[in-house]
Amino acid sequence: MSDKTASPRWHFAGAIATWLIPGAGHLLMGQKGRAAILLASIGMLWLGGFFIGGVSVFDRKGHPVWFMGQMLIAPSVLVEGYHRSLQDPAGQPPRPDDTTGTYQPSYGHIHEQGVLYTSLAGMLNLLAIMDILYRDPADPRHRYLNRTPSPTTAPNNNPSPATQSSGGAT
Amino acid sequence: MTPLTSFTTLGFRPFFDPVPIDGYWMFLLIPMVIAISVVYKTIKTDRLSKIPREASILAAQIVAFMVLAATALWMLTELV
Repeated sequence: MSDKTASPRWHFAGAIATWLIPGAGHLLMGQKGRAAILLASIGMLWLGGFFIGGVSVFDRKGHPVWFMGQMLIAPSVLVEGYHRSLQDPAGQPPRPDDTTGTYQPSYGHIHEQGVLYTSLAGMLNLLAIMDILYRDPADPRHRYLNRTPSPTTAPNNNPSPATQSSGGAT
Repeated sequence: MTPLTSFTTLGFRPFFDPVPIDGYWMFLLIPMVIAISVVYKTIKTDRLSKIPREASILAAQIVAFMVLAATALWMLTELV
């Protein structure tokens, strides 16, 4: 029987939580600080792109490849569905000079920047998903996963609490 | 009517209408670079206290290489 306390662990629930809300998976793991930073940075980037380009930056039919990046954050899928519901029955957006339309589509650099911001937010969220999906307890960032003290980390019979659960602090 | 006056007079609807900042789009690259640096270092560093310094260095490196690449491409198109 091998004494393998440092086996890698897979966290599918955490990965799904991160897909729904950036940083939620890290929060589930007890890494509150990391979760807050991820939520703030990825969320601001996504909201920034949404704000800059408007609802028309989420367009699955218009730019399907970029939407693959955008859909790595779950709310993008909802906003894209809402965008399609705002279009006319023929699936056409309002004309640019129609100020009374349900929304104004963006064009040019503004549209590019909005799409880039939201897609990049999705791809950065993919990094967070991958980080939470596979947690290697041997990694210094994931030491809190080692619940049982190993002989090298706990030479005496009174192990420090910091070596057992330091997830929130790292 | 300039884009900025339409922004203020025609009832701008946030998240429904695009922000008319077409002339300043290049400045929008800076927040993007900062976000990339912060997220990457948040995932890679073992201590959160290291993040501000390491993310700043990474952001500066990205901006420096973007400027270098832009300069090289400008020279390629204008001088060659």
